[in-house]
Amino acid sequence: MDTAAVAPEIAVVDHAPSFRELLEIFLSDEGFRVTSLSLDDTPPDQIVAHPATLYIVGLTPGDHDDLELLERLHRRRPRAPVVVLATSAELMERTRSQPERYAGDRFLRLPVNLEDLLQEVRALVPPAETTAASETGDGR
Amino acid sequence: MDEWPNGAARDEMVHDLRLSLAVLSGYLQLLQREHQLRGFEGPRAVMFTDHLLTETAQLSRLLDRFERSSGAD
Repeated sequence: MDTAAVAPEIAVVDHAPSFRELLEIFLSDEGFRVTSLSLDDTPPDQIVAHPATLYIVGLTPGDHDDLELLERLHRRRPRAPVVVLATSAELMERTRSQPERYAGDRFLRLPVNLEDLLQEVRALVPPAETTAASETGDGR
Repeated sequence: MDEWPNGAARDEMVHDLRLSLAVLSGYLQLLQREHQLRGFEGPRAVMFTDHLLTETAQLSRLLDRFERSSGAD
Protein backbone atom coordinates (compact mmCIF):
# COMPACT_ATOMS: atom_id res chain seq x y z
CA MET A 1 0.00 0.00 0.00
CA ASP A 2 1.21 3.46 -0.90
CA THR A 3 1.75 5.38 2.32
CA ALA A 4 3.30 8.53 0.90
CA ALA A 5 1.90 11.62 2.62
CA VAL A 6 -0.04 13.76 0.20
CA ALA A 7 -2.28 16.72 0.72
CA PRO A 8 -5.93 15.64 0.84
CA GLU A 9 -7.98 16.62 -2.18
CA ILE A 10 -11.18 18.60 -1.86
CA ALA A 11 -13.64 18.74 -4.75
CA VAL A 12 -15.60 22.00 -4.83
CA VAL A 13 -18.82 21.60 -6.83
CA ASP A 14 -20.78 24.79 -7.45
CA HIS A 15 -22.36 26.61 -10.37
CA ALA A 16 -20.64 29.93 -9.60
CA PRO A 17 -17.05 30.20 -10.92
CA SER A 18 -16.30 33.19 -8.69
CA PHE A 19 -17.26 31.25 -5.57
CA ARG A 20 -15.30 28.16 -6.63
CA GLU A 21 -12.23 30.31 -7.24
CA LEU A 22 -12.54 31.86 -3.77
CA LEU A 23 -12.65 28.44 -2.10
CA GLU A 24 -9.82 27.19 -4.32
CA ILE A 25 -7.56 30.03 -3.15
CA PHE A 26 -8.56 29.72 0.49
CA LEU A 27 -8.32 25.93 0.80
CA SER A 28 -5.08 25.75 -1.21
CA ASP A 29 -3.57 28.26 1.20
CA GLU A 30 -4.55 25.88 3.99
CA GLY A 31 -2.63 23.01 2.42
CA PHE A 32 -5.35 21.16 0.53
CA ARG A 33 -5.40 20.19 -3.11
CA VAL A 34 -8.56 21.61 -4.64
CA THR A 35 -10.45 20.52 -7.74
CA SER A 36 -13.09 22.92 -9.03
CA LEU A 37 -16.10 21.31 -10.70
CA SER A 38 -19.48 22.45 -12.00
CA LEU A 39 -22.53 20.61 -13.22
CA ASP A 40 -22.69 23.27 -15.93
CA ASP A 41 -19.71 21.78 -17.75
CA THR A 42 -19.02 18.39 -16.14
CA PRO A 43 -21.51 15.51 -16.28
CA PRO A 44 -22.57 14.18 -12.85
CA ASP A 45 -21.06 10.78 -13.69
CA GLN A 46 -17.64 12.39 -14.01
CA ILE A 47 -18.05 14.36 -10.80
CA VAL A 48 -18.95 11.36 -8.66
CA ALA A 49 -16.18 9.37 -10.37
CA HIS A 50 -13.66 11.94 -9.17
CA PRO A 51 -12.01 10.40 -6.07
CA ALA A 52 -11.68 13.36 -3.72
CA THR A 53 -11.15 13.02 0.02
CA LEU A 54 -13.95 15.48 0.76
CA TYR A 55 -16.64 17.15 -1.35
CA ILE A 56 -18.04 20.63 -0.93
CA VAL A 57 -21.34 20.93 -2.79
CA GLY A 58 -23.29 24.14 -3.29
CA LEU A 59 -27.07 23.94 -3.54
CA THR A 60 -29.06 26.25 -5.79
CA PRO A 61 -32.78 26.79 -5.07
CA GLY A 62 -34.95 25.10 -7.67
CA ASP A 63 -32.07 23.10 -9.12
CA HIS A 64 -32.88 19.43 -8.62
CA ASP A 65 -29.64 18.42 -10.33
CA ASP A 66 -27.72 19.51 -7.23
CA LEU A 67 -29.76 17.27 -4.94
CA GLU A 68 -29.51 14.42 -7.41
CA LEU A 69 -25.74 14.86 -7.47
CA LEU A 70 -25.65 14.66 -3.66
CA GLU A 71 -27.60 11.41 -3.72
CA ARG A 72 -25.39 9.93 -6.42
CA LEU A 73 -22.32 11.00 -4.48
CA HIS A 74 -23.54 9.21 -1.36
CA ARG A 75 -24.36 6.07 -3.31
CA ARG A 76 -21.02 6.00 -5.13
CA ARG A 77 -18.86 7.15 -2.19
CA PRO A 78 -20.73 6.36 1.03
CA ARG A 79 -17.70 7.03 3.23
CA ALA A 80 -16.69 10.35 1.69
CA PRO A 81 -17.53 13.37 3.88
CA VAL A 82 -19.62 16.12 2.31
CA VAL A 83 -20.03 19.76 3.28
CA VAL A 84 -23.22 21.24 1.83
CA LEU A 85 -23.43 24.99 1.26
CA ALA A 86 -26.68 26.82 0.59
CA THR A 87 -27.88 30.41 0.39
CA SER A 88 -31.43 29.42 1.34
CA ALA A 89 -32.12 28.51 4.96
CA GLU A 90 -35.35 26.84 3.90
CA LEU A 91 -33.60 24.65 1.30
CA MET A 92 -30.87 23.81 3.79
CA GLU A 93 -33.33 22.76 6.49
CA ARG A 94 -35.46 20.81 4.03
CA THR A 95 -32.40 18.91 2.84
CA ARG A 96 -31.03 18.36 6.33
CA SER A 97 -34.37 17.00 7.49
CA GLN A 98 -33.87 13.89 5.35
CA PRO A 99 -31.38 11.96 7.50
CA GLU A 100 -31.94 8.80 5.51
CA ARG A 101 -30.31 10.59 2.57
CA TYR A 102 -27.97 13.17 4.03
CA ALA A 103 -26.96 11.85 7.45
CA GLY A 104 -23.41 12.85 8.27
CA ASP A 105 -23.31 15.80 5.89
CA ARG A 106 -22.31 19.16 7.34
CA PHE A 107 -24.48 22.13 6.36
CA LEU A 108 -23.43 25.77 6.23
CA ARG A 109 -25.37 28.79 5.03
CA LEU A 110 -23.84 31.41 2.74
CA PRO A 111 -22.35 33.93 3.25
CA VAL A 112 -20.06 31.87 5.47
CA ASN A 113 -17.21 32.74 7.78
CA LEU A 114 -14.25 31.04 6.08
CA GLU A 115 -12.81 30.04 9.46
CA ASP A 116 -16.06 28.20 10.24
CA LEU A 117 -15.81 26.38 6.91
CA LEU A 118 -12.18 25.50 7.60
CA GLN A 119 -13.14 24.17 11.01
CA GLU A 120 -15.72 21.85 9.42
CA VAL A 121 -13.24 20.71 6.78
CA ARG A 122 -10.50 20.05 9.33
CA ALA A 123 -12.93 18.11 11.52
CA LEU A 124 -13.58 15.82 8.57
CA VAL A 125 -10.12 15.73 6.98
CA PRO A 126 -6.83 16.35 8.78
CA PRO A 127 -4.60 18.53 6.56
CA ALA A 128 -1.63 16.17 6.40
CA GLU A 129 -3.26 12.79 6.41
CA THR A 130 -1.71 9.83 4.71
CA THR A 131 -3.88 9.04 1.75
CA ALA A 132 -3.98 5.96 -0.40
CA ALA A 133 -6.26 5.31 -3.35
CA SER A 134 -8.29 2.87 -1.29
CA GLU A 135 -9.06 5.51 1.35
CA THR A 136 -10.91 8.02 -0.78
CA GLY A 137 -14.40 6.95 0.17
CA ASP A 138 -14.98 4.95 -2.98
CA GLY A 139 -17.91 2.71 -2.22
CA ARG A 140 -17.43 0.37 -5.12
CA MET B 1 -46.75 46.33 -0.76
CA ASP B 2 -46.22 43.21 -2.81
CA GLU B 3 -44.03 44.23 -5.72
CA TRP B 4 -41.06 41.95 -5.21
CA PRO B 5 -40.58 39.11 -7.66
CA ASN B 6 -42.33 35.98 -6.54
CA GLY B 7 -41.66 32.29 -6.48
CA ALA B 8 -38.70 30.94 -8.40
CA ALA B 9 -37.64 34.37 -9.72
CA ARG B 10 -37.43 35.76 -6.21
CA ASP B 11 -35.52 32.70 -4.94
CA GLU B 12 -33.06 33.05 -7.80
CA MET B 13 -32.47 36.74 -7.10
CA VAL B 14 -31.97 36.14 -3.38
CA HIS B 15 -29.61 33.27 -4.17
CA ASP B 16 -27.55 35.45 -6.53
CA LEU B 17 -27.41 38.23 -3.97
CA ARG B 18 -26.33 35.99 -1.10
CA LEU B 19 -23.77 34.23 -3.30
CA SER B 20 -22.29 37.53 -4.37
CA LEU B 21 -22.19 38.60 -0.74
CA ALA B 22 -20.45 35.32 0.11
CA VAL B 23 -17.73 35.99 -2.48
CA LEU B 24 -17.37 39.61 -1.38
CA SER B 25 -17.19 38.65 2.26
CA GLY B 26 -14.78 35.80 1.48
CA TYR B 27 -12.29 38.02 -0.32
CA LEU B 28 -12.52 40.57 2.47
CA GLN B 29 -11.57 37.81 4.88
CA LEU B 30 -8.68 36.76 2.61
CA LEU B 31 -7.58 40.36 2.31
CA GLN B 32 -7.59 40.65 6.07
CA ARG B 33 -5.45 37.52 6.39
CA GLU B 34 -3.13 38.77 3.64
CA HIS B 35 -2.73 42.05 5.47
CA GLN B 36 -1.88 40.24 8.69
CA LEU B 37 0.73 38.13 6.88
CA ARG B 38 2.29 40.53 4.39
CA GLY B 39 0.77 43.97 4.63
CA PHE B 40 -1.24 45.51 1.82
CA GLU B 41 1.64 45.73 -0.66
CA GLY B 42 1.67 42.11 -1.77
CA PRO B 43 0.56 41.21 -5.33
CA ARG B 44 -2.23 39.02 -4.03
CA ALA B 45 -3.74 41.96 -2.17
CA VAL B 46 -4.10 43.64 -5.57
CA MET B 47 -5.81 40.55 -7.01
CA PHE B 48 -8.17 40.24 -4.04
CA THR B 49 -9.05 43.93 -4.35
CA ASP B 50 -9.91 43.38 -8.03
CA HIS B 51 -12.24 40.54 -7.03
CA LEU B 52 -13.85 42.78 -4.40
CA LEU B 53 -14.48 45.51 -6.93
CA THR B 54 -15.96 43.03 -9.43
CA GLU B 55 -18.30 41.58 -6.81
CA THR B 56 -19.27 45.03 -5.59
CA ALA B 57 -20.28 45.95 -9.14
CA GLN B 58 -22.26 42.71 -9.43
CA LEU B 59 -24.05 43.45 -6.13
CA SER B 60 -24.85 46.92 -7.36
CA ARG B 61 -26.38 45.52 -10.57
CA LEU B 62 -28.45 43.02 -8.60
CA LEU B 63 -29.69 45.72 -6.26
CA ASP B 64 -30.64 47.80 -9.30
CA ARG B 65 -32.73 44.86 -10.53
CA PHE B 66 -34.43 44.64 -7.13
CA GLU B 67 -35.17 48.36 -7.22
CA ARG B 68 -36.62 48.13 -10.71
CA SER B 69 -38.70 45.12 -9.68
CA SER B 70 -40.08 46.83 -6.60
CA GLY B 71 -40.84 50.04 -8.50
CA ALA B 72 -42.41 48.52 -11.59
CA ASP B 73 -46.13 48.18 -11.88
